[in-house]
Amino acid sequence: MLAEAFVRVQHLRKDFQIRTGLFSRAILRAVDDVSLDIPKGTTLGLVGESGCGKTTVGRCILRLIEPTSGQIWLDDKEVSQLQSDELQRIRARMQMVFQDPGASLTPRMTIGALLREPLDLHTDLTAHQKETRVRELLQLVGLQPDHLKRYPHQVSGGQQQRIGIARAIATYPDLVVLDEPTSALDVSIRGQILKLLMRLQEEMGLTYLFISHDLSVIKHTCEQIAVMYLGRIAEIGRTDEIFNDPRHPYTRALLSAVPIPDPQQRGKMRLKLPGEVPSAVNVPPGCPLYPRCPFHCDECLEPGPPLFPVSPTHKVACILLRSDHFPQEEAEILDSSLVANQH
Amino acid sequence: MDHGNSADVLLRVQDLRTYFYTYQGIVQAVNGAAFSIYRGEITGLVGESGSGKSVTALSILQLVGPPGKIIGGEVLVGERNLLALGQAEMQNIRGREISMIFQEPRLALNPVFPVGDQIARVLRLREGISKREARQRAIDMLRSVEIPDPERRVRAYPHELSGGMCQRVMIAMAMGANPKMLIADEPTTGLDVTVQALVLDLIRERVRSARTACLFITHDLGIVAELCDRIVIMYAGRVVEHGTVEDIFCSPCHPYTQGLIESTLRVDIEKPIATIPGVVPDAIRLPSGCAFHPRCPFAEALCREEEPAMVSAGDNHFARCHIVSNRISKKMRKEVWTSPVTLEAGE
Repeated sequence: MLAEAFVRVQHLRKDFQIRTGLFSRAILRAVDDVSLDIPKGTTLGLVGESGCGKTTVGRCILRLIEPTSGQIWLDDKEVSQLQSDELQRIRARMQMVFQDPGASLTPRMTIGALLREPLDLHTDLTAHQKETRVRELLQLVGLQPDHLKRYPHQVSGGQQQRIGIARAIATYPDLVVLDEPTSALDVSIRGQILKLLMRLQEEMGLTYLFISHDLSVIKHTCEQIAVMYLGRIAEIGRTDEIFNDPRHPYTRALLSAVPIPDPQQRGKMRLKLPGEVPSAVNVPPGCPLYPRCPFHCDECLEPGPPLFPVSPTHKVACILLRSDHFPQEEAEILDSSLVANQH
Repeated sequence: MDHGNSADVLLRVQDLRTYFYTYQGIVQAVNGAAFSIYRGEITGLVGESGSGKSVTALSILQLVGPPGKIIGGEVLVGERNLLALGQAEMQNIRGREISMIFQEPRLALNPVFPVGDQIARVLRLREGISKREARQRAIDMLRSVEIPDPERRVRAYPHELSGGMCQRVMIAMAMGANPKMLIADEPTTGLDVTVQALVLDLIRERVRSARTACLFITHDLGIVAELCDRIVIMYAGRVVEHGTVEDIFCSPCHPYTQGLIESTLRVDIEKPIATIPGVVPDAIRLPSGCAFHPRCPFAEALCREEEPAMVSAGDNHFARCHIVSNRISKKMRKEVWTSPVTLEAGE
């Protein structure tokens, strides 16, 4: 079993109203009944393809956008109930690192000013103490003091992301939401940033929510993984459970679509999903994967499916996992639909 | 697959140099690139951002605009040097003999015309057929790239199609004239992995069945391993290693190639996170000698002083490194990429 939850999200839902015409509106359900528990000092990876709602979950947890319903707990505080002044105070404890470091840092502020900003907002330190802390932060993320007077565009993408991270950890937060922190970076730099994030987690006891579409990055950084599809959690479990024993057809398709950098593994079996992710406007009840799933049956159209437990830590929202389906049968159906990679 | 049969060479790039003349100085984006592309094969052009891979592709088609300038080299198709051709002659080559697809398919399509009209326009310009015939052909082409409901989709505007769908339209347009060569510049970057897999299947199938040569530009070694027959690795405007996929992945010779393979994270096996220390050099002020020496864990004084020549590292396998040419005798250990010493050297 996993340790007790430090960050707890229950039945989170977020609807966006979108305009479909001059007067007509439609509801886009970006996040639908998402529940997560993250124990202190660990990382939960949120994976899924574009439009699956993973970033919306991250933003709702920090209340950068208001959730439509659901509860969010950070330690013993219910974040979802806080009034604006209390929320302002708790923001120091929960921070975010954004995807594109070039766009998320104000181009008119020097790196020194950028690092001082969170301290100005959230702490009562004296000017001298702030200066000390800024220098300390620089060193923590592996930058030199001469960077302080430079502007973001004068440093490389990897260094910009280091600044983004330094800003996020400036106020000794408990939770950091990492929204695709490495997807804008080159392969050779990506490792440096991941190493830095993991070192900071260890030193400061940080809890991470790691949002990414890149399964290889998630595999190397997270204890737990939640796979999202069209606003809902398709499968959630420990990293080894998701990678070694994926049960949901979507997880299997996602994993088998990742190219393996080894020519000897060409022609590996792949689960193909026809079509593309549909729009999240007016999603019918039932399994969101229904139109693309090779194993769909009529029961999939019933509302739900709920998360069926496979082990105490591993849950899957697929009707094939219901207890009256034999595991063997499920395995056979899954294997029969794998398609050999063509060459 | 036969390797090295020179009769099968479709296009040869020799000593290509493309510089950009900016206020800050001369950017040596491509600095003496040389490689060959073979009929019926997919050649992967791999490198990090700023390594010059896209500029190389644009130079082949003479699509580099000011402040960029192709200042030297040859792009040979048979006996013909494409770089010596004028714009009018080049226009006959683009799209007919060599076509290209780009990274952002939605930006490459015109947003104010339905995709069917855009395909039909290309066909009419190229083949002078009637409007009606062109429209029918457009529908057939959309069907050939597995777009569902092509009769309806010909009337769709680019914004009504998904990214994967737009890239299929681009592939249909590019392959429509049965070109001898297809240049694909990161065609799946920005697409989701399940969509990417389908687009790659399509490219592979179309290129193989038509025996088209393909230059596939990417930074993703996973895609290269699954799709390509040969690999050309670029670093700081130069080709540092090239060979067959098996050679490059099983016995990479250049330290950069090695570092790149080691630092690629994998979903299928457990391995520690590895990185190449430092950053890609500024293309205006390239390091002396071997451009990779400031980041190379095996570098010695010679690497700083003298640029290594491209030497053979086996059958059809070449690398540009003093260790490969035995001027420095050193063993390249893989472990070095995961060692904390290399990592802490940082940026």
